[in-house]
Amino acid sequence: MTKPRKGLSLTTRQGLTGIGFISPWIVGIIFFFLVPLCSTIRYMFGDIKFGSGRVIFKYVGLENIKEMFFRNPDNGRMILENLWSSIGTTVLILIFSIFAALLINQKFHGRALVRALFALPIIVSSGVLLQVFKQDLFAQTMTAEAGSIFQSSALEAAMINMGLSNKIVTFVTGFVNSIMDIIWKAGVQILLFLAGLQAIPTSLYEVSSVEGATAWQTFWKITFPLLTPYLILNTIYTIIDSFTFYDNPVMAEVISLFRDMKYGWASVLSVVYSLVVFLLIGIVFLLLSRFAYYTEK
Amino acid sequence: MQDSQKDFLRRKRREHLASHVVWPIIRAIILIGICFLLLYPLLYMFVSAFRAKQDLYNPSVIWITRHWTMEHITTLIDLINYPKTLMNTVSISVVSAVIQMLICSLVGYGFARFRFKGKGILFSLVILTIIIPPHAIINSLYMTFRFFHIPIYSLFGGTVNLINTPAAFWVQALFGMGLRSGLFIFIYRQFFRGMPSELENAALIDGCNPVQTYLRVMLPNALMVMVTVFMFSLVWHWNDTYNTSILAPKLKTLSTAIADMKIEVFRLKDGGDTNPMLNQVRMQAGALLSIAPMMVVFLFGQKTFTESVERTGIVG
Repeated sequence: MTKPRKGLSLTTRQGLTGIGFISPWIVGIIFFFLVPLCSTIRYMFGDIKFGSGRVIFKYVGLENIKEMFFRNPDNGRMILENLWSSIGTTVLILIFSIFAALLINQKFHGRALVRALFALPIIVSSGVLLQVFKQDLFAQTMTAEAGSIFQSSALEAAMINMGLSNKIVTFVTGFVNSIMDIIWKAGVQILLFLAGLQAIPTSLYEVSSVEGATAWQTFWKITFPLLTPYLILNTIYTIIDSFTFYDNPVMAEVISLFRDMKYGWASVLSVVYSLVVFLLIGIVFLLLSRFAYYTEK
Repeated sequence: MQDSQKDFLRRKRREHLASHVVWPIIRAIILIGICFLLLYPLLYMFVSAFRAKQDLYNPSVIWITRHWTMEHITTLIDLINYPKTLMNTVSISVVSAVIQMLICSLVGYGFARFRFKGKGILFSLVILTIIIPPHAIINSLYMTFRFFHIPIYSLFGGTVNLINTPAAFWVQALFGMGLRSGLFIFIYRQFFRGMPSELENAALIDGCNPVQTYLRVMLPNALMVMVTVFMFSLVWHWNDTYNTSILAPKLKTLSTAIADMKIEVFRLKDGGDTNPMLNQVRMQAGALLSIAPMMVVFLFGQKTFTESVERTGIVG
């Protein structure tokens, strides 16, 4: 930081230069974020039509909200169901990506190749392609059933015969069935965790091995605490990603309302949904930041 | 004494066995499994996109095709109007990525190195743009670009319709509000904050003004971050279906074309009938077409990509 040395004028000049640097962003945040945000909230209470060269807004009160959430009970349920499934996937993706990052951070032959493969999902994966991938002709011809590649019906039967409770069976088979999704959605997260692992000074590991700590202890006492900033970033990233993903039903509903020109309804649905996501992120952030460990404050 | 020494040695040997023999085998199995899941769809796509019709119902053909054909590829090139779709995608994603890379560095530098009133509040707005999901504003953004006011032109009461043009994306990127711009600004800020202030002081003494300092001293040092931001921005724009399907529904990009492909492919006839097997293979050919440009980027840029993320240490 260049510190002001010759009194106030330099400080002021510095400040103005700084504002100059961020000025495009200031214009952007007003016109492409704050104004749209306010007008979306306004659209919730109106009937929107296109006039010549402008939007015609007719105030209708709570009509849109009533329509979307009281007359049509599906929307509320859809958001809630989607919330639960997204939380579930987020947790699974985070656990998997920490595990995968730990694995490919170790030294072994062919590590460069494996790392290159792990970067594949970042570059080629979009929700659309994932769906094409899962429509698998090969698997269909081999097992003579339509569906995804890895079916866990045999596992499910075995577990039920073992007398495990229904909940455990659904959880495990759900995980197995979605493993393809998880691996293909965890690309960025793995990369970020890997960056986090590389940033941990090796001296800490040397000390712990001299002190006789086991690998398990080293992970929980050194690796995990130092990864917590990355964990927060990844959690927020994963939540946002899962809520804007191609196969998200709420998003599809917003788009289809939009194409039918039901702008008021679309606004209600998207604002409520955003509020839910925002609250979730807020809660997660507050919870996690209490445990976060930063080396330098 | 003897016993405890033997115990110690035995324990050491066991640990050695666990960490040098057993663990590598388990690790190899897990890694091969994951890599299989990563490679399988791609290999399958490559193989089946070129599989001729007479091999589709041949049970002895699983991986290696007997008769190769370019037929599916050419069908799909016509169907999704590949040259035009590709141009649309490139003009949205590459141009926006370049603009984002430059503008976000400017803003990130401003936030990292200068003191001014209200900086804290403004930066918390940056964080807000990261956290607020795009659904919240996309409806009104549509209206903004449907009736877009260009400063002087609009004095005469005219608006421009930027829907279905790449300009809608460029304008957002230009004002630091493009796809995940908040995240990129954050990354740049973290990077510039970590740079030694001696660099700037030296530039100041040598007579550089702040803009020159930024262009000649700071940016060349930030090359790695710029590569990271560019690559991420490119990939995310390329794969985006949400913003494009609302802001540019008629301007087909590869992602939205593939999303709509299924319906169109299943309308294709095979000598008067619909052939589901053939259509599946055609879908794979379409997927291959949409991936191909990114695969080339991946082959050449994969190493820079992973390394740059590791070196920039995004969270700081």
